[in-house]
Amino acid sequence: MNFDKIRRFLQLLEEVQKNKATDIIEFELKETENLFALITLGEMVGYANPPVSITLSLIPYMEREVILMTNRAVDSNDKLSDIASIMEVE
Amino acid sequence: MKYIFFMGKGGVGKSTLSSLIAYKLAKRGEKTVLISLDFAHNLGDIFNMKIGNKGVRLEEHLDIFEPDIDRWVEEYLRNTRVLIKENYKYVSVFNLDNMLNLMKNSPGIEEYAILHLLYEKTKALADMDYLVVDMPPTALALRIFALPFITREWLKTLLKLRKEILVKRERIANVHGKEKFDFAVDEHEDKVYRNLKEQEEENAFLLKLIQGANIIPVTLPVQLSFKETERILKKLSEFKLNVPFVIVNRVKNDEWKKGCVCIEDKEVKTFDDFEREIKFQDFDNIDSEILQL
Amino acid sequence: MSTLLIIFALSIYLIFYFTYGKFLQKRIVGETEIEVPSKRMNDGVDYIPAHRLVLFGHHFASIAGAGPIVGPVLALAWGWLPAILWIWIGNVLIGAVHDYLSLMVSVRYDGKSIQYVAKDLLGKNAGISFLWFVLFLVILVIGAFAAIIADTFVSVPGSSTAYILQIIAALILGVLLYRSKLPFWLSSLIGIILLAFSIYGGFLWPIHLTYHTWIIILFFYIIIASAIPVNILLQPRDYLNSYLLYFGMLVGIVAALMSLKSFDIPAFTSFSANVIGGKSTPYWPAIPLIIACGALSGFHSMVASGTSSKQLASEGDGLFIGYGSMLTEGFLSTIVIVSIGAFGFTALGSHSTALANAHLFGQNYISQFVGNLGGAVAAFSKSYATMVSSMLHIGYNFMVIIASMWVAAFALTTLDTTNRIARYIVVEISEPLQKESITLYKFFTNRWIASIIPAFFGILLAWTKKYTVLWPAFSGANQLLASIALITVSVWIYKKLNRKYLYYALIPGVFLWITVTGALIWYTILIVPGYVKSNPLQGFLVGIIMVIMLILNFVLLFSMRSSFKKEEE
Ligand SMILES: Nc1ncnc2c1ncn2[C@@H]1O[C@H](COP(=O)(O)OP(=O)(O)OP(=O)(O)O)[C@@H](O)[C@H]1O
Ligand SMILES: [Mg+2]
Repeated sequence: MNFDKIRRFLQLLEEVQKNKATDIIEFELKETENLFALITLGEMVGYANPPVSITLSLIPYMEREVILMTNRAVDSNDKLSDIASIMEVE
Repeated sequence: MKYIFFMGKGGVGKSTLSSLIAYKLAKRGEKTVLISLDFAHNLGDIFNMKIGNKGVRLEEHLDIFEPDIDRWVEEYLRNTRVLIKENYKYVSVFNLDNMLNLMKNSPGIEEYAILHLLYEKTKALADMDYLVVDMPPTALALRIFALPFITREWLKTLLKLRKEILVKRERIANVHGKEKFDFAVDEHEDKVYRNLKEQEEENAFLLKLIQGANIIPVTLPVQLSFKETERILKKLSEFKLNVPFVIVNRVKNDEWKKGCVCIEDKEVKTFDDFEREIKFQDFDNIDSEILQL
Repeated sequence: MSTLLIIFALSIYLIFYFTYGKFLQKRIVGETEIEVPSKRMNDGVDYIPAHRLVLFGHHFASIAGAGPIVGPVLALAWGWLPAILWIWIGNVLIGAVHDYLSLMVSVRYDGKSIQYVAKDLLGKNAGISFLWFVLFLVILVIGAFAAIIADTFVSVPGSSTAYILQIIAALILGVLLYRSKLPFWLSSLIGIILLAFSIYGGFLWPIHLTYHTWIIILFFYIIIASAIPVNILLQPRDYLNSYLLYFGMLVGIVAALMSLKSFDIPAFTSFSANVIGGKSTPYWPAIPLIIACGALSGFHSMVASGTSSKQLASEGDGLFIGYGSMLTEGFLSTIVIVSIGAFGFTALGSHSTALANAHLFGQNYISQFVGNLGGAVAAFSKSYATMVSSMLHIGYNFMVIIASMWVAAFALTTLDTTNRIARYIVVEISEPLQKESITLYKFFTNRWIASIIPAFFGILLAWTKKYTVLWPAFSGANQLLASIALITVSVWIYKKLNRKYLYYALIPGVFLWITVTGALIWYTILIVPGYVKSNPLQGFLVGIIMVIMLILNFVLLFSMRSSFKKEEE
């Protein structure tokens, strides 16, 4: 029979479950990374900011955080839908 | 190595006095470095020669440097931009250019540049006996001294937060395998964490340097200058920095000579005149104190 | 009859998926040259294309909770036919349309949230209304669910033990999953075995506490749960719950398909059976206040426009994920109807005279039938367990605990996660305060205050024990959310797609708006006063929430009108 297809299907199921086992942590991770970006790049968004030297020195390695921050800065309310996506509220 | 910083209002004689001290120390056979951390360098004028970034060896034991701070900032920003280009996959550098431009003019970058130059020089010249620093005018000088303290607190916070992030990533990676994500999981891999650590190291070095240094405020014998000196002393004591004494420069009246370390006002034009006129004896008490430091 | 109904449900869902669903996809949403956000805006962080099956799993797990189970249980008071009709018709024509279109509008809006789109298309008021509805929804859901959980723990004492043991299982599983080097499947397997043990433990050592003791425990539980890191408890427990869901659904479907049993409860009792607060309740317009999730849920628009729209790998997958997972949820509700319809009386044991005929059944179902079985969750789990144990020969008591725990666990997940949502809303809503009074702003946005306020109000409501009053209020807020989303997508179709097809979203939207508004007015006038009389504090709270929601609801209608008008000019 189509053994490969079955295997692929099982792999996908495993991925579904792996996601289920990490989605809340992932959400929190992104929140923390966003916070990290807000703190270090606060200069850009108008928060209390650390010395520029720290910021400048870190920026080259913070692509992920920069992306997260800009995604969330576009519309802060998006967060609501993001949490909704990981929780059962009904 | 011993560190001596001269600071004070513009024109009080920081450059003159730091040159003089450095010169006299060198003459005594101490390996001495004199470095100007002021944007408007005037050591060159004092010694009547071009000094510049690379520095000049004057006398057997005296090296003088006037690093170009503006150029360093430019270069630093350029490097940052290159690094961003190298490291970013999704976000284009142009999106960040605006911000980089902003940062060039944002307060704090000069202080850092100055500290970093000091760091580099000190690291490179570790085997010297004395490092004499001619600081920029008061306000900036105080910010420079404050920066390592502020930086220390921020780095502490950021490192803690970063660790939290790495722990969360580790949990996720433990389920999904490391390959699935393109984020770094452990402390050695994470460039942000490593960079923070490097910054922490540099900052700790600078902090130690400043905390171990002798900071000598220079003032003129006028009310206004005294008021400012009081403020300086207060600020420095907040950071618990060493101030062995204050120098009152250009004293005309004899009564000043009693209670304080002071230098007479001399009718002089060139450094050589100074050298001749202000003998080491004039520094008598200073001399002995500084050399004991 | 029971088997027939399941097959019939499956066929309806399949037929509608391939006809109406495909029609929505081809004609209304259509095709576009622009790539989906997950590819066009791929940033390796939020926007990442995901395989449709993976995304379906994620989406379905987020929308399937205790809601689609509790609602149908109560709705059976009108008889099983009206209940199932709303589940089916509401689902395929309104609920699934709502989910699918809110997913697609978000996809076309670069993966932005439905609230953002609503603000963009309907104006600022819609965005603000949205926030307030969510806040009320959160408070009411805590109230309703805490009441239901405590009720379940009292009437099925084993489920509380099982639940506590599951917490321990989750703690262990957390260590295995996130810290040990064991392979994923092995940790999961150990987790499942521990889960089975905890259910068995519930069977052995039931805990008997009073309703109000449980309510107090729940209050502290909510607050503590929000303070400990998610990977310790929340995440592994949530993960374990997914197995309860799969197991429950799978076993339910198989048993229901095999059952071949006629329905014992009447097909139709009366148009106004006694449902809400023991008062006679008109089927229309009150039905969406009883069956929300399972037929239609506004909360899904948030889920759809959260992660799903940012990870959709192609627009074609949208129907499967948006429309398809909603149908699956409707199917879950169908199983509930079948379990109670066919096995409820067996579970109840005695045929009391109070339920002797259709009319009496309609009057006394909630008090005599659901009440004697031990509340909404217990009524379901006992009927379900009867069905499963007689078909598949799995121990009855065991199945009762599994089923009760399944529903209670999902309800509890809701409890301890809603305060996270609440925190964002409270911060968002307090925004204007920042200018007025910074101290007040700081107070409300404080991490603890922001999460304790909703929990406190929710628990206060639950204290009254009246879940048949709280449940409709929660559903009402939920349905209003849905009506914002439906109106938003209508305007979207009108402005950005083909005007010709406006009515496919607008008619359900307006129908829903009228129905829910009518129902809420009815509720405010007839139910709230009674509640105020028995519990003044809580009654006033619910009353105020209702009035604010109704006002916002009218504001919304005007926003829509002016938004259509603007387009006309
Ligand atoms: N004791 C002194 N007697 C006479 N002239 C002095 C004395 N000390 C300094 N001067 C003169 O005062 C002027 C300013 O001195 P100097 O450049 O050292 O001050 P500075 O504090 O370094 O100033 P800036 O802040 O501008 O760098 C110089 O012309 C210098 O020759
Ligand atoms: Mg000078």
